[in-house]
Amino acid sequence: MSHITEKLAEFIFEELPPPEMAEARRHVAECAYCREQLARFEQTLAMLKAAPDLEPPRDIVFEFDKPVMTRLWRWFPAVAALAAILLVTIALAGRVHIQWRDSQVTIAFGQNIPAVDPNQAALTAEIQRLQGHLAYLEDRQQRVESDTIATASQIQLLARGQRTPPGD
Amino acid sequence: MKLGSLKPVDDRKIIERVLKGDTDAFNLLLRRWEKPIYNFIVRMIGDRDEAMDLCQDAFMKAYRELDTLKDLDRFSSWLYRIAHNTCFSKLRKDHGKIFVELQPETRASRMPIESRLAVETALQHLPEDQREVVVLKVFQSLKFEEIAAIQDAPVSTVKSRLYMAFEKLRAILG
Repeated sequence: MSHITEKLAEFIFEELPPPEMAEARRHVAECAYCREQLARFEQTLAMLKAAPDLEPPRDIVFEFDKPVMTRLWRWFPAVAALAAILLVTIALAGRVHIQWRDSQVTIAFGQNIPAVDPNQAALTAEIQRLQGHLAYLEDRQQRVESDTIATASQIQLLARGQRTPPGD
Repeated sequence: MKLGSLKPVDDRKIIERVLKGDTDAFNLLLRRWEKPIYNFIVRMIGDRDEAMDLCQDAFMKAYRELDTLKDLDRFSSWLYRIAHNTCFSKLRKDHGKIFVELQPETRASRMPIESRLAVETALQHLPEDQREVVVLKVFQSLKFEEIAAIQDAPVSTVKSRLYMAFEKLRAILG
């Protein structure tokens, strides 16, 4: 094997493939020139490594801005709780009346929710039925009046024919 | 913190959380990578205060562009690439400026802090691309292939830069 000068750095930092590493070791053991090269390199390396790492003078900490919506949602529970408390307080004070009926919430301000009259719907239906009947009767009345006038006119025409002198 | 001690799978889980809207989880990535990235930058530009600001810029950019990361398991390489761009942008602005001006000392007299200062000074005398290879290889323990991806250069070029850098460092550090 030739001198390891070209591979000295890889040999020292052990980055040669295992077979080449083994061969280089054998060569260095036998070659005074390569041993000297190696010693000089390692001496400089040792001097460099004598300089320890520094501690950074301060820690870097990033404070990241959260997205606007995230910030708003963070306040949502507090706002919702406050709104609920406010609503309950007003309701208890008698100014707002809340009623849950037939899957529907009814909120009335400053007054009681009017009670629903059970006969109201039946009365409304009866009125509508009578109004329809009245319209029918009025229509019948107009037809009878028209028939009466037509019959009277016919009688008059017949009566005139009877008064005409015979032989005209 | 060395790259090898970190589990990409953990990074992946955190990144997935961030991408799903858990933005605060990004601070977990910060905790994990702040020190390596800071040390990479400070060794590249040689100014500790400036390095902190650049480190913050790099993480801010990483956060903004996280959704463009195609392979979540390669987050660290991607992050180093962002830090690389941040550093080189700064270095182009401050072309020719060397922040660490201490004279290198002899090896025998060095205490740890002095060693660090001597190394930082020596690093600042290297061309930027060579310096970056040394920092990423020696201090961040990245593979040659990873460094090649960060520098957008062939692996052979990366290795050449390392050899040339070591020659110069040996001359400076003694």
